[in-house]
Order: sequence, then C-alpha cells, then structure tokens
Amino acid sequence: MFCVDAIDLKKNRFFFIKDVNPQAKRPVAILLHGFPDDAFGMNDIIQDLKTDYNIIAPFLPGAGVQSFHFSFEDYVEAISLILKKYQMQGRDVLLIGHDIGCFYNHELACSSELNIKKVVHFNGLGMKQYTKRFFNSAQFFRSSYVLLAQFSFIRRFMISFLSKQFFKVVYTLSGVKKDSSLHSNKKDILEASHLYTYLFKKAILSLFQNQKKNSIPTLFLWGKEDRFLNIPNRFEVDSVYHNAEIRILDGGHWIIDSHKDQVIRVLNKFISSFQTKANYERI
Amino acid sequence: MLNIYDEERLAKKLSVQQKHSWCIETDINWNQGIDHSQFLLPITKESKLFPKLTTRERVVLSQLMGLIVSASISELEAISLKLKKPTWERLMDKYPINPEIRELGEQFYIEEAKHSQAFQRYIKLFAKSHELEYDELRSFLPQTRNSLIEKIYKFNSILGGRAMWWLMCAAEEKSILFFKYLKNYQNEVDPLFYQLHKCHFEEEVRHASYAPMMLEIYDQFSHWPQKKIMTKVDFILAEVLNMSWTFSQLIKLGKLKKIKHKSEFYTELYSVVQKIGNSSPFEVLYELFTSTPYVSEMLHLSEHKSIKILLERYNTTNMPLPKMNQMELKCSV
Repeated sequence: MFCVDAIDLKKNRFFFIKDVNPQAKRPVAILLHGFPDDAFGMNDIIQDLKTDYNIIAPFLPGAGVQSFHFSFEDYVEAISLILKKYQMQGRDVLLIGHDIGCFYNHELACSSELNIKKVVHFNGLGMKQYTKRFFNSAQFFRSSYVLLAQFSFIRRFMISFLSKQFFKVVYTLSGVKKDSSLHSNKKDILEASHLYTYLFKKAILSLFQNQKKNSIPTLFLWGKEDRFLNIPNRFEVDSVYHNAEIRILDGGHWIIDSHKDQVIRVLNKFISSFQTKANYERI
Repeated sequence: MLNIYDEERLAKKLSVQQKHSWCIETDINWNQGIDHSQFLLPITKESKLFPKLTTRERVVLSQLMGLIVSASISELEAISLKLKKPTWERLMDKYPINPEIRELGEQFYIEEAKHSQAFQRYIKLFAKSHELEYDELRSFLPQTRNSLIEKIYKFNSILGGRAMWWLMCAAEEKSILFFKYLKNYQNEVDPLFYQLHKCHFEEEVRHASYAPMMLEIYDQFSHWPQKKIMTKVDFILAEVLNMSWTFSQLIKLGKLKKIKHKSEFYTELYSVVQKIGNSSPFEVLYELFTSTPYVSEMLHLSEHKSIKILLERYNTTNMPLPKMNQMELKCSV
C-alpha cells in the first residue's frame, strides 16, 4: 500500500507517492516514472529502497491523479517544496528516472540546489543528450512517434479508441512480461502523451542552449533491445557527463519490469555509498 | 561461454585473473639458462618433409619449431596490442555493456603484453646462450610489425569486422593445445621453455573466454547489412591472412643460407631445412597443410573444437582446406 500525498503549487495540486519518515535521518530517493506508466510502476524499486531512503515518487503530468501540467521549472520547485514540507532540506538526494521521467530528473540535477549525490536513468536520458541524437537516422526513426504525438486529434483518437492496442504494442516492443501488472494500467495514464508536445519544444530550444557538463555520478541502465531510444555510447555520454557509468542489460525498454532482480542488484551496487554513511539511520 | 550481461560472474572472473596473475621477473626462473641438448617441442616421428633425421638434427628441428612458435605467439600478442584501439576500444566505446567487460579487457591486454615480452625474452636468451646475434636470429623468425597484414586487420575492424578476434580465438586455442603436447614431455624439453609455456598456458586458459565474448558482442550489436557481410567475410579473411603470413614467415628460412657459416646452430639448422629441398613444391605445400607439427595447426584456424562451435553458432563461412592428419609427437628418435 502506498500513501499518495499532494502539495499546492501555482494554484494546482502536485501529486506524489510518499514513504517518508522525516525523523529518520535517511537520504531521499526521488523516483519518476516513464510513459505509459504511473508512479506505481516504480513499486519494485520503492520496495527495495524504502528501508534506507525517504521515498518521493511524483506522477508525470496527465498520469493517473496528476492533472497539473507542470514544466521542468515547476518540477524543480515542487520537489523543493516537498522536501521543505517534510523537513528534509539539505539531505542527500538520489534521483531515479525511467524513460521521459529522466528528462525531468536531469533538469532537476542540473538546475536545482538540492544535494543530489547520484542519478540513475533507466532507458532514459537528459534533454541535452537527446538533442545530440537529432541527426542520427536510427534515433530519428525510433522517435518518429513523437511527431505524431504533436497532434492533439491523434492523441485523442488513440486514447479514445486504440488504448488497448497502444498498450499492447508499446509493452510488447518494450519486452514487458505477459504477466506484468503493467498490462492492467488504465487508459487515463495515456493523458500524459501530451507531454511529448512540451518535450518536443524543449528539445528544439535545447539545440540552441549551452549546458555545462554534469558532474553528478550518473548510472545509465539500458535494455539492449530498446526500440525507442538508441543505446548510449561512451562518446555521447562523456560529452554530457564527467562521471557516468553505462550498463546494458539483455532486455528492452522496460528492464525495471523484465529484469527486476538484476536491476535492483546493479542499482544497489551503484548507490552503496549511501548506505555506508554512518550518519544515516536504518529503520 | 560467459554471459556478457552477467556482471557478477564477470567481476568474479576478473578477480580470479588478477589474483593468479604471474610476474615475469619472479615467477619464471630466467637464471636457469637454456639447455642446448634438449628439445623445445616434441615433433613427429616420421615426416615426409624431414626424412631420416639424426638425433641431433631432430633436436635442432625441434628448437627451430619452438622458436617459431614462441615468436609467433609473441608477435601475435604484440599485434593485438597494437590494434587495441580499432579492434577493442572502439567497440567498448560504442557498446559499453558494463565496466566489468572493459576491465576484463584491460586485464587481457596486460596479460598479452606480458606474454609477448616473456617469449621475446626467451628468444633473446636463446640467442645469447647459442652466441648468436639476436637480430640475425629474429630475421628468419616470424614478424608482423608494420606489415600489410596488420593494416588489413585494422581496416577490417574500422569497417566493423571482427577478423582479428577470430584470429585471437584460434591463436588462444592453439597455444593452449601446444602446451598440452608439451606437458607429456616435461622431462625431455628445455626446463625454462617448459616453465614459460606453463605460465602462459595458465593465463591463456583463464582469459580464453575473452575473445569469444568479443565475437558475441559483435554478433549481438552489429546491424544488417554489416553483420550479414562480415559474418561471411571475417573468418575467411582471418584464414587467408594467417596463411599468407605463415607462408611468408616460412619462406624467410631461406635466409639461413647466408648465415649458415656464422655458427654451428645455423649450420645444423641449414642442413635440416635443406632436406625440404628434396620434395616438390606441391608435396611441401601438402605436407605443411596436413602433417607438419605446429605449422599445420597454425594454418588450420578452424580445426579446433571450440572454433568449430563458434563457427556454427555465428553461421560463419570458412575455407575448405585439406584435413590435418593425426600426428604422433615425440621427443626422441
């Protein structure tokens, strides 16, 4: 069972899953899901981390309860407010994202003043890294659905009439197991598809922006058979990060579902420095 | 074959390799010198190429084979180091599967460099103990440096080919096999030569799965049409280059004529090599392919069991070559 909480931000409600004990001096793990999914899709990771971390798992705009169409800047502000609400400012923060959740987390890592110690991207990447792929034909082909998602009537048609088929195609292409709980997702989470219009504009703008190299230790965990995003290579990652590790698993776009055990094992190894800190209490 | 995605097993393997790694200075007793009267490698009892050899001539032939094998291993490992960037680093940067595979690769190259150095040192010691000039001895032993073959391997890897890794796979298997021949004659071969090959064998066995893992990465990550073309071309290319290299190195034995008066070893060696002259070129070629110890094995990249398994796994084409005969290897007449 999860507790879903909300904060007020710009006359809107920003919803998130919380598993927080402010009294325990634990670091904070912020988990942001991908599309088509919601914050409950991070269940396995939350279960693994909740004894060592205070968990915050927001919903993407349009996903499930989240009707607030927040921007990157709103996300940064919302996370600061949440940490303030639970008196966790200054705590070490671990960011975990999947798919388009990684765009938001990367912006958070680059622009917030939080004490972010490590970032984990599951089959996802930051905007600057994505725009470096603009002229890559393989990536262009794989991202062609983004162009279709720019038209609201296509999105509406898809949500109204083809939601089941859409889920089936996306999850099958992503290597999601047949018995996965993802298959029981409701069509309302597809409302998050409008995010692709916002991200598309951001990507175009990002082409003309210079961004400093990120020095927060970052882990890329990637399924080899990802049909939507190319596998990151060392040249690309080194041009955006000072300290990044890449690990490729024998899965698809949804390795957090298809390769849970290995994902959790690798994740724990990467974040082990958090657990060894003496000043954190383990519940 | 190791699963390239299993980071736990790869890490364990790396730790085993690092723990048992030997030191060229302390683990090999270089001070024991070289016993001139001993064989270096066991050779066949009877050969059409070398009929009716005296005991001493058999020893000299065995020493020549031993030097050729040592120089070949040394040169091949040196060439793999030289082509590290196009054949390995580029692949690792393009498909960074996990840090463990990269570290295993670094360890692989450290070991290859050490092996190359160790075999080179043995040849130097051999030259010194026989009072031969090292450069003169090397002049008729296998060399690859700055050769066209090296450039072709480099070009192949730039095009996304894996010919070099096929060669490495086969060479690793052969060097393991050569020590297995040697093992039965521990007391009859030069002790230093035996110790060197034993150390080499141990590390080769430990890192033998690395080259097949590289082939696996190529297979899993390269795309059509590159994959389709390279699958058909790479192994044949490795075979052709290996054959042309082996023959070009054997032809260098002709240089013995010029230096035969310089030492007793060269004189004896020349008299042994001259016996080949009695056979027709076709006979020589056929014997080299079918029943010349070590040379036949070097020419047949696809003969080894594990290479056959890999060829089948990747549906790779190989050249039709005359089959190798079973050879009984001995250290005595």
